Order: sequence, then C-alpha cells, then structure tokens
Amino acid sequence: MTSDTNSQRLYRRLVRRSLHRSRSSAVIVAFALGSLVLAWVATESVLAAVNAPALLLSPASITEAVNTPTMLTIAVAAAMAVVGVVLVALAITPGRRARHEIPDARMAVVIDDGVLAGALSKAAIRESRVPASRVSTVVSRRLSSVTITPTSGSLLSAPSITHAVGAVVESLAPRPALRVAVAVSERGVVGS
Amino acid sequence: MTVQTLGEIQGRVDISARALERTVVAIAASHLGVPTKDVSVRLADDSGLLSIAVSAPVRLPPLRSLSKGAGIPARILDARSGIRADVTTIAGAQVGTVGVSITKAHVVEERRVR
Amino acid sequence: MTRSNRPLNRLGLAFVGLLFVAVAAWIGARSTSFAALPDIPALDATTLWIIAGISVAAIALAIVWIVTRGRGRARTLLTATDDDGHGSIEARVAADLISDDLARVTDIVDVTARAFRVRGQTVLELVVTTRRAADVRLVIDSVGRAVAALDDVLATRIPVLLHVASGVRATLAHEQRVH
Repeated sequence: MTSDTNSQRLYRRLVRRSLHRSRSSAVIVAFALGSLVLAWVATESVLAAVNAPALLLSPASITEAVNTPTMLTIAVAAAMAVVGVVLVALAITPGRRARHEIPDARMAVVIDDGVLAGALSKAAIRESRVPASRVSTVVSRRLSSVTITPTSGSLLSAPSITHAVGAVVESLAPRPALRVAVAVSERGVVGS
Repeated sequence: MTVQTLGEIQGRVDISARALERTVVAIAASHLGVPTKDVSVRLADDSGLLSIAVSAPVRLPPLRSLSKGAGIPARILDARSGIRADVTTIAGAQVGTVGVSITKAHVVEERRVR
Repeated sequence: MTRSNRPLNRLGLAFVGLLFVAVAAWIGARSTSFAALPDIPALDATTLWIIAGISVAAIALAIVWIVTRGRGRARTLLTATDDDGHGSIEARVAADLISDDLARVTDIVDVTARAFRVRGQTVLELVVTTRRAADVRLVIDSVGRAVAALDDVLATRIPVLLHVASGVRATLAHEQRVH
C-alpha cells in the first residue's frame, strides 16, 4: 500500500532527524558573530570613504598589515584558520545525538541513551543483587558497558548478568545494535 | 408559559454586536461543556449571513472511555450543529458557516450519578 | 524538532568556514613568500563603498537566514472543511488526552506534545520524560496504548514521533546511575 511506504519513509526521516543535530544553533551563532564583524568592516569602509577617522583600524592599515605581514597579522590569520576549520568540521561531521531508535509498529521512537542505560542498569541490579549505587552503565553508539562493584565475599557471575542485560536489549532492539559488555570490578566493597 | 424567542418577536429588535457575541459565547460554552471565559468567538458577515468562528477547549471524558464512544470529530459536528440551531433560535440570526476550532481538552472523569 | 533546512545549514557553515580558511591561507602564503601574490592596492573611495555595500548585503542575508530557522511548527493536528463550515483540533488536545491517560504511569514524569509539518504531513511529537531507572518497555507500551486510543478517538492515524527523554540534567550524560 503506497500510504504505508509513505509513512515508512516519513518515519525514517523523522528518526534520522531526531538522531542528528540540525546545526541550526551553530549557524545562528556563526552568522550572528559574522554579522558583527561585517558591520565593523562596513563602518570602517564608509568612514574611510568619507575620509573620517577610523573606529579601530582603517582599511589602509589593514591592507598595510596584509601586504607586509607582521606577527600580529600571522596570528590573526592563524586564528581565522582555526575558526574556519571548526566551521567546516561542524558542517561535515554528522553531529550524532546520544540517542537510539527503538523499532515500534505504530510510532517512530527515539530514546535518550541515559534512559536506555538506566534500564540496563536496572536489569544488572536485579540479577546481581548489588545495591544500585554500585552499578553504572554507559551507552555509546554500538556498545553498552555495565560496570559492577561487587560486595566482598559474594560471587557474581558475569555471564548471567550479561544474559539478563542482553534480554532487555533484545526486548527493546535498539538501533544501531548494542553490544553488551559486563565488567565486574576486581575490588569489592565490604558490606552492602 | 411559552418562552418567546427573539426570532418570533414581531417588530425590530436591536442587538449590539457585543451582546450577540456574548450570547454566542454562552451557547458555544454550553455545547462544549466548558466555562464561558475559555471560549472566544469571532462573528463576521458572510454575504448577509452571520458567520461564526469558535475557538475553545472541549470537555471530554478520559481517553479510554472516550475511545469507546463516538470520538472527537463527531463531538465537534454535534457541537457545531447545536450551536447553529441555538444561535438561530435564541438570537434570531441567519447563520452562515460555523467553524469550531478545539484548542485544548478538559479531561474530566465522568462520575456516575446514582 | 523543526523543519529547518539541515543541508542548507551545513552548506552555510562550510561556505563561511572555507572562506575563513582561504583568507587565512592567503595571508599566510604572503608571509612565507611562497607564491608571488600581489599586494592589495590602495583602496579608493569607490572600492570602499562597494565593500561596505557587500558587507551590508551579507548581513541582511545572514539576518534573513537566522530568522527563518525554526519554522514548521503547526498548531492544528487535524482540520476539515465542509458546506456547513469547518472544524479543527489543535495539538494540545492530543497532549491533554494523552497526558491524562499516562498520569497513572509512575515512571512517566512529564508529557509534552507538539505538532509540526514535515513534507506536507502533520506529525505529532510526544516528549515523555521518565524517572530514573524507568521501565522502558512499560513506558513505550503505555504510550503506544494511549496513541492507539487516540487513533480511535480522532478516527484517523496521525504520524507520531515519541522521544523518551531523561530530564534536562541527565541529557549531558550517557551514563545513568540508578540510586
């Protein structure tokens, strides 16, 4: 049915846009600062054109500085190069947000990685019976790593915890797929 | 004792635009089940007929009970025809198009009266 | 999420960035006398006015660009017109109904809804903020059930984007400590 493929395409698009930054704020900041600089340039040009004294630097002194480059001009050029590279980097890099997609029949669903980590922590806590403060989970693009600090004297089975956490990952099926890595730290804490 | 409506009164009845607006607001509020202060109405001329644009919340039962019933579009259609009928009868105006724009929902648990 | 033109944003950034790099490279090349680049001639009044004019035009363009960010927000979710007039339902109505329905889910702390237009279609965006250590499956299923009920109530299926969010502070971290 064409309406299904249309909604599929729409949902793909919605999810993709939720998972990446739009760069709108970067553009606004860059253009606002750029406008200030251009305003200054325009002011200096007009002042020079009517032979009025310059505000900060006259166009003549600027061309002088460029024609016979001083340390200052080199420094300014270097700063400009850095700014330029940063802007190009912002333009080229994907700008991924810390989010994953969760497939659903009816809705397009995206979830903050923090919430996902919380759910995985919860599974690890339940399986390991360790107090919540001793479990921490970090979710990155393709990996969820769970770190557990055990109670001294109680044995923890990493495989069973991995299985429990893996079950939650499987039930949610986040995209991109998440690998599960459970690490039980070697030093434990006495008493719970 | 019968209540005479404005439409039936012989002779001329002058209704200020503001009074008419307040009347329509009251009518709309009653059909939508919300306080009159939340209702905003815009009256205009529509080739001699009175066109009404209502912008207001609507009182609704919770989502689950609502889904078993008629649904919001039906509710809007009912409110719209009710408003049209009442404005014609009570204010004696010839009504043209009626627009109902629902801005919010006042979700109220229906209490069963025993 | 808005309808701002993302490829255009990136193009704009790339353009300005490359401009900066080009100017910096030109100044740098002059200092190392790598290439025999010509000196900038003395600027006469005409050239200065032209420079001022171009700068002002560029500022105007930048302002227009900035102002056109963030469009695409829609108030109405559904609208219909017939011979008797018209009717419409705003996004807030869906928000109110769904918020009320999800109020009993303790893991959900907040529900906000927005409507926006993407490619000619109106989409309902739900942002559901959850408690720490929330049961994600339960939250998503609860919202799914509310949306299914909304489908019945509106007599139509609106495209829905659900964002399960962790609250403002925690968005900076990928890590979630369950206390």
